Amino acid sequence: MIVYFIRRFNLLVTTLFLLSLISFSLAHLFPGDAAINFSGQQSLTYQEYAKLTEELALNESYFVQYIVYMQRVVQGDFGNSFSSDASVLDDFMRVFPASAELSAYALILTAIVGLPLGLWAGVKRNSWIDKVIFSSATIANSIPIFWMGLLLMLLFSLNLAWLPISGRLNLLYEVPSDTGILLIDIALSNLDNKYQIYQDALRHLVLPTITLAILPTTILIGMMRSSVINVMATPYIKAAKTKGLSTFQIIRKHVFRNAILPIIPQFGLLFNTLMTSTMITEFIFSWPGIGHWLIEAIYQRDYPVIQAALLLVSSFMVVINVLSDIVHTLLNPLVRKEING
Amino acid sequence: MLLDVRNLTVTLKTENLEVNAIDKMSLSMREGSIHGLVGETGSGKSLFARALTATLSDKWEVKADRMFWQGQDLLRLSPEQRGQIIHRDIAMIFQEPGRCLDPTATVGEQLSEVIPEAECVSSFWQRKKEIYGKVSNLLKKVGIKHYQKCYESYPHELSEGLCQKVMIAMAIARRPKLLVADEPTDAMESTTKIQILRLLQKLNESKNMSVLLITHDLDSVTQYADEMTILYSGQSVESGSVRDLLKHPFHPYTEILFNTIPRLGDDLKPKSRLTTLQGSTPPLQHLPIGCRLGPRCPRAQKECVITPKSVKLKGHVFSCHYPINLER
Amino acid sequence: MANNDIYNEIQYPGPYQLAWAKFRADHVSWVCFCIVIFFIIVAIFAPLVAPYSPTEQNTDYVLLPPSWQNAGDVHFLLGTDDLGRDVLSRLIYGTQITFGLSLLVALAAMVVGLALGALAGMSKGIRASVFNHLLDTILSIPSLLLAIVIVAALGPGLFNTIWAVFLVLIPQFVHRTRIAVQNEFKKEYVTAARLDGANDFQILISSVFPNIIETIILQYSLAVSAAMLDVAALGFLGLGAQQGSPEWGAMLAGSIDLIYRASWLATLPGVTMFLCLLSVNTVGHGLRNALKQRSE
Repeated sequence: MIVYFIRRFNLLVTTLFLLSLISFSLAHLFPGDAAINFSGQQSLTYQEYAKLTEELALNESYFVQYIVYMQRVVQGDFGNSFSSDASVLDDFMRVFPASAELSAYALILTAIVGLPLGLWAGVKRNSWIDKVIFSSATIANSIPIFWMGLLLMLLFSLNLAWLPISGRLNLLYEVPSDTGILLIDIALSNLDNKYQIYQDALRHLVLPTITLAILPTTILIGMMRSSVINVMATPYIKAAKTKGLSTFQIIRKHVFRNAILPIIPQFGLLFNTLMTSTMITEFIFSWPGIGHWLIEAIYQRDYPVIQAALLLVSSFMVVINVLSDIVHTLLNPLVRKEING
Repeated sequence: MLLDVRNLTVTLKTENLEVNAIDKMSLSMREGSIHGLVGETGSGKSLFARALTATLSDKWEVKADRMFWQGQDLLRLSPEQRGQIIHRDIAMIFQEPGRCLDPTATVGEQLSEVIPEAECVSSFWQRKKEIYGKVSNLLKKVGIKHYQKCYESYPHELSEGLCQKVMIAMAIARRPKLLVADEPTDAMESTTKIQILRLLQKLNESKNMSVLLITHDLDSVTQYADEMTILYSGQSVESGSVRDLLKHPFHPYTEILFNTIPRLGDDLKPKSRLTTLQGSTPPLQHLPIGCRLGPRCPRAQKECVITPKSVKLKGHVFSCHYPINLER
Repeated sequence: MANNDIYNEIQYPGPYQLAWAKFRADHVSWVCFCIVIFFIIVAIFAPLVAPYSPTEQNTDYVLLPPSWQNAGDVHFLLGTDDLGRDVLSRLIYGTQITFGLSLLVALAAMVVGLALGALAGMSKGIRASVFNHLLDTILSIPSLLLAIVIVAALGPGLFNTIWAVFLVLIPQFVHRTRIAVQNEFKKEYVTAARLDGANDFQILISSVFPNIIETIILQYSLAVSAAMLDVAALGFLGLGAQQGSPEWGAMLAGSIDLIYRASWLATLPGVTMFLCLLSVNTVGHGLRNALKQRSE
């Protein structure tokens, strides 16, 4: 078991190392001067430039440059943004909560909708309910997310005018940002019309959350359905049926647990989709999150931001992947058996 | 009579095919007996068990003149009533027991859930302890010494033999009248096999629990069963008490079947061929009409294209137009 | 010689025939397959099929709604956009870009990925471990993010987008092939072939490839839809095909500003793309089902 954890940790470290290597080389691959790409300081005098080159060890070998780069990364120094001239890390910390909040709600929605529907479809395999669930999942899976966002916007915001088009909050309200997570911030604030602000924030949340949740939900339904079908065909479910347990008992005690276990390691894939969708959703609904930030950065050719965003987002993904793997190992006795020999 | 099945027909229905996988099979069991159901692979033994316990999928259609369980016709009952009776009185164990246990739950958990709620007398907070006691009792009954350890184990940590014992423990938890054992010792080591069969025999004697032993292993049936039924391609060939069948088989297939077991007493010449039946069992798409043994039967004649009626004679039931060992 | 064997008369179809028959029997997949073929034909013969050039500006007919609306004109079946370009023609040329290029890019990625994956699947020891780590790293980065970063490094544009999508697709093929090859190499029939004296290469060509071809085809259908999504998403974000190009994503992006006045500019490219994606996905799904049923 310990060996397993060491190996996972090893994988994590190696992967992060490779990621940092990619991120490091980007500064050289991007158009423009490496010193400027690394530091993000554009208008430099000649002396300042020379000093910077010295600091970043750009005249040394790539190896030394990498070490210097890593030292800066560990200290949280990703240079400054070209456009806002603020520290990239500060910018990141500013936009991260908005993305995290949106993704978390979408993930919750995905789990609430996807798991039961997948379970239902899998248990009632080949019935009309399965066909309805599965074909709607397939159809929804084929709708490009940017079009989905546009359609929802066209329908609910423009034609019906029920919900706001973009942003997190009406400009009338100003909520001090303590945690960055809006719903908590509102609770913490001492404004008198909290109820209205909540209502407004939730109305702003509806469309982005739904747009974001659709794709992962369809994937989750598919995964859960095929997993449940596999479990339902196993001898132990057939045996359980002859033991005199009710269908509900069998599903609750045996099917659900056995079906959900193989899904856990695929959680990384789900999160991957979520991350991609987040970028596009934020772009469509002008949600001030990482995706919006990153795409703005690309429009502005803001190389330090692109570089940092790649490193931070993918490191986050790697950690999620490894975590879901470890959780799976801890929960699934069969995998534990393989590891313990 | 505990179980009395007459002319059971199980039909497989697919889009372009309709086959009687079991064709007019009959079987009757006395209470408290061990009944062997013998046949080659694909002869419909397991299908019978699943038709009895109503666990077949919709593709299969079950028909019978009668299927009496203690005087009640199971096929006339509503599926709910039938399910209740089956759950109350019939338990089943399978081949490959390791795969019939939920791999993600401990043995203890799985045993606890089959303990009938009605049997628990203690109050809510003592329930857990009581159930633990009952479960350990069950494990002791099936001859597991280290029941404590077994209770906490996951199925994959136990050997196949132990898993089968756990399955048996699970089956007897509800004190069923009939235990259907569907090839319980398939692919097991011979010592484990004997342990399991002995255990079944012991349970049969001490608890008066009837056992329907489904197997292709003739040896174990002749050793442990009181009565037996032989199936060929979904048709019942002959049934009766094991001793009678061994001495005076009426059906040619029965005789050949027993002759295929090489015995120590026979003086077999070196390199001589063992007795077998020519040909192979027909596939489901190409079943011969009439007596399905027809094309392979050494005594077959023109009449055999008509399905023979079952004849009851001296305690045997057999279906053949030209029986052997019978003076006319 | 008289043939007495009465059981030999039926002919068992081969595995590919069987899968094909199963696939044909599934009507939904079959219809979708026809749609995919239709899209391929449209993509190949776009200049012949399209009534106008995608860039031709009919300044007299600006923002004409589709012909079934009252203000529409039959000459412009699906209406025109803000520069008077025929939407139908643009959609047809868009098929060439979004769908046609995705097919080709996925094919190229498949060839490269298959070769690398087979190599990776057969290598052992430290080389395999290094390779796996590298692959895991790349796979852990969301594909769109990776494509965006590559585009950022290369600069925006359709050609660079295609390169980016190509590079992004390769690791997935490598991953699938590697796992499939490794699994296949563990099986007994490979051991048997090895005992017969076949070397790794022979085993790979004659034993392993025919058995993993299903996985590869499946992955190809996934890759095509992923490629379409990525190309269109990059076009939509303004990083891929330039504004004004008939690429579907770019067309959608151009429609946002006009969404109040000309909603058909947002719906039509979306519907086309949705139809195309749905067909590709359903064909992939049908293939998987057919192959699964075959083995049952």
